[in-house]
Amino acid sequence: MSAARWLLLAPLAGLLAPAEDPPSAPDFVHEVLPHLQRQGCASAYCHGAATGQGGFKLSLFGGEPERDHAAIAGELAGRRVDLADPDASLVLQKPLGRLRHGGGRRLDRDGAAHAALRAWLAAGAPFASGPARELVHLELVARDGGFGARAHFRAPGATQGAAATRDVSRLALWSTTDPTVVEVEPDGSVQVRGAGRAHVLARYGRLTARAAVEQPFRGAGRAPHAGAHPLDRAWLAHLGGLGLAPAPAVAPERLARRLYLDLVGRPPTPQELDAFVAAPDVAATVARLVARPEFAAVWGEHLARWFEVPGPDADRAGADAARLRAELVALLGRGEGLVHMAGRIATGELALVDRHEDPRDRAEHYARAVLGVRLGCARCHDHPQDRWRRADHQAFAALFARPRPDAGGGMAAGVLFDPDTGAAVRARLLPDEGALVGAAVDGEAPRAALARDLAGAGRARLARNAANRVFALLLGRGLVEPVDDHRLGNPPLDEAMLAVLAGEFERAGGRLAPLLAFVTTSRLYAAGLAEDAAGERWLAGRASRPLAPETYARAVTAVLGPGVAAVPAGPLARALALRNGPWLREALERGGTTVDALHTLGTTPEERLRELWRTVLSRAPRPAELERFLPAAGADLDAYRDLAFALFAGREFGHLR
Amino acid sequence: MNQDPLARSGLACDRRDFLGRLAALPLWARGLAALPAERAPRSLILVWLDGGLSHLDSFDAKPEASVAIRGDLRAMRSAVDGVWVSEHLPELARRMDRCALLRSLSHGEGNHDRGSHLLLTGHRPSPVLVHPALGAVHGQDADAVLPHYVAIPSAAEYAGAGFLPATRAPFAVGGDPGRPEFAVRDLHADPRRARAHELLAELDRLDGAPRGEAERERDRFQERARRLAEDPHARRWFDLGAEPAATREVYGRHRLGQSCLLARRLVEGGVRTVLVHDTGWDHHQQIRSALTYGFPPKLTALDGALAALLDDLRRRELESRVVVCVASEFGRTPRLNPLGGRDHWPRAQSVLLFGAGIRPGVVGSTDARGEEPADQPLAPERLHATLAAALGLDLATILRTPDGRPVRLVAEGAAPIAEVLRA
Repeated sequence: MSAARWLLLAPLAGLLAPAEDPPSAPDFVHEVLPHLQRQGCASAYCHGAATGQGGFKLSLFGGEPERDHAAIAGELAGRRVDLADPDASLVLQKPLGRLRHGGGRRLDRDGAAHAALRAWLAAGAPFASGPARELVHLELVARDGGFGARAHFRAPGATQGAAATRDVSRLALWSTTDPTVVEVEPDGSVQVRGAGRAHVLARYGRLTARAAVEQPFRGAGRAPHAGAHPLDRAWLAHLGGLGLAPAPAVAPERLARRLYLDLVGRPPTPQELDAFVAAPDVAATVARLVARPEFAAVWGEHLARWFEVPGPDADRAGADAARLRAELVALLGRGEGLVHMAGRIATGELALVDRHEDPRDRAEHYARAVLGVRLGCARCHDHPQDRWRRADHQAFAALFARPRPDAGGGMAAGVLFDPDTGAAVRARLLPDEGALVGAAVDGEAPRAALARDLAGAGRARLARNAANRVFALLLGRGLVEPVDDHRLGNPPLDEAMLAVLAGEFERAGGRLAPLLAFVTTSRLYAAGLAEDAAGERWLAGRASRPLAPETYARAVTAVLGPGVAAVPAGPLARALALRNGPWLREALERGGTTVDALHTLGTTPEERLRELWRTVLSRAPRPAELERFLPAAGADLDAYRDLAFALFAGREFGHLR
Repeated sequence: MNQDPLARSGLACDRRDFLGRLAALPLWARGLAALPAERAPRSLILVWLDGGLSHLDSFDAKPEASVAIRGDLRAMRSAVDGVWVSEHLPELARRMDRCALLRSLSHGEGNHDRGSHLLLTGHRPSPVLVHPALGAVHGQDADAVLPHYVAIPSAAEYAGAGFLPATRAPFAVGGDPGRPEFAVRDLHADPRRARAHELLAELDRLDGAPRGEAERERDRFQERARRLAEDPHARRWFDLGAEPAATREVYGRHRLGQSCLLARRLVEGGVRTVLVHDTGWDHHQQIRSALTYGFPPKLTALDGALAALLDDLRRRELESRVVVCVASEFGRTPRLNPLGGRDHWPRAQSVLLFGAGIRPGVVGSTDARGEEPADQPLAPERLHATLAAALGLDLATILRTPDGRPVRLVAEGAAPIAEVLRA
């Protein structure tokens, strides 16, 4: 594919200046270690494994340069390095394939990695060389045929003055979020492989930078008329860039079904359906629905899942979980916003994360639920394509250490001890975007500081997390997936759409109802099913999604009248239960249901059939259905119940389309 | 990105091959028994003693230890020289020469959740990932009638699909197989509903092609449910009533016995993994009475059910096709606590294996008090690797998480325990 056609989406810094000269004696952290990363030496399957490999252990992904330096230059009395004769060093001999090496040949004699390692050995294998410097920023720059990576350095601790820059394109570790769209070479040049959008990522030191590459499906998009809705403008721009056309909007009947199932967990009644079709005012309908008690019940369940409250059938759910669920429903019923709820979780007033014994579990749970980030990996090691370091994890977890009684009879902030050193860890918030360490929390109740952070830097994370989760609940998928994994290496489907949603979350003051109204009034919400897998993936249209077991039971109950139990969750158990199980059959045969009433009220078979279709499926029967099912609708009550059974157990009722 | 994580792992191909041959067989013969032994895929029965089996009171008796350790239960010689087991396991003792007994399994996870995750998935619990149990990975026939993985009566926590799709989770039969009225739930179509089912099929047909993957998946399971309901031969594998009364007696008319019998039927029908989930082994108090009183006593039930399974597999020539593993999340404290119970003890536990690919013998031992491995400490990750190897799985298989991360089927560095595998 021609390189001229693809587009760089991110605003990139100017073209790369001619490469600056590297310092004469390479510095271990900035010039040697990156080569080892690029050769995969410190990966989990090689020397980065917990037990190392072949007696030689490096920190995973180079997270601990001091230890790595010691492992190479210090251990075995320096047998791995031979300063008098650098070429005889094991650290060169093995990867060059001159001595047996389990990882095979990794270095090329004429390559840059070999040259750097050799120069470093010749200079005495120092840990640092030249003036001390610290990596403060990494950026991608456009270059003919791909990208370059530019690193910015400052003297340690300095915040002022121009940073020294350096081209690290041949030192950075390059990767792509989707190799079927774009592949990236070890020097940052790219090959476009297929249509779509993907991000090119460069990692150097502990920083990651990314840029988007886009290849349209059907030639450059002609953006259809965007309308006034900000989400639609972003959505259509997103599709336009990919050369995809939006799926046509669904008929008002289907839109009404979506709104009712999404907001109050049940299909509309025929009267509600008629009213909506006569005047399809989504905003007014949403305003009415969110005032209903079912709304708080349905979205209380959503929040409980989002906040990871153990389900009622969990092994050790206990009374606390039931109380928490009730509390969430009550808060929603009172119209409490998500910002306030998150604040309560932060302070512990809503005892969500406090059920964990280990402060690290509490910290990780809080980060997932409230901030939409996964800290878990950083519990054990620093991670590539993730900015959280182990130190960040510990410092954040320290905020969640249980308070202990102090000498004065009050409570003092809890302390978390570093398992390696035994020293008390200083509590810190997570670092802000662009910062290397988080703000320290001293002399203040740590959980209050956490809540205060939600008004500051933590707010942006909360807004993006909440906006994405609400979007996922309404559209069946998040712009960021998995929804608790916001990070540089896991970009949203479309950044502009997420920004619009997060902005709306702010404008709504974190209240759920306005945000729901915002999304549901968009053309995107009304879009029909996508034509193909690409359309689903890039959100040109919707994907049909199965009703969750509890939604299914709720919807059946709402339509029938008498309550039915939730169907089993497993796919085969669910199919068997629907087909052969007692729950639907008994509910229908118990009598006194809406189905029986329709049979009695309808005057002609066709009328009975039409009403059943409208009541259960929110639509009129198609001609073929009329023809095929009229006899059953015209027969006795038993046959009519069988028809209702088929509708409830059918593919259409079980999915939100 | 999110294609079938197994299809990309290379696990799928040998089963395709199997399916091809399977289709040529008459309906009644579509059990595992109809295939030549060396080419038939192997099945696993995992008897999971939930709570933690006391190794000292079962397979690692210490007749010479003090009463504070050995308790009041006595030990007896087994068919293997120098190997003593609990006197309440006489049937297994007589058959010990046909079993592999691992006595030096040892790890560091002392709570039920974490220990279960480790033993059932072969991976240490992780804050970011729940790993799939072996049963979720093993078996891939998209159009088989019987599920690839069945839990009797229900799945233990961490015996599920983990990060794999929910379709890989076990089918739970529900109920209590030990009760006379037991039947696997929802298998039988109500004849009075024939018209309703006909209408359902018509409705789905008139609805046209399924929209997207979720609907296709629903249709596949709908079809499987239909075939189970309509194909009496397929359904029969779930039916304990089809067994002669004498066989049911031998296994024991109790939950564990009938669960093991149902497990044997299911693997015979082609189910790849059956989890027999037996609860109530967490004996913090009065362990002696808990193990030796009751109807029947717990150890007696275990003894009878496993011995019956051992004999039955041989008699039916399934011994070369079915691997059986009896395990729990950890052992129990060698020293009795003041309540006469034993607490959690992950540093030593015993695991019993027999059947396909398993070489009989005792591997490893614990010290005189049963506290620590005296030789050959075995990590649970290696047990997992051993089972995977006995089942003929590719140990280098890489599974994919939903976000595309590669995860090894077998934990890094975990080699199968060569001593218990037939060459």
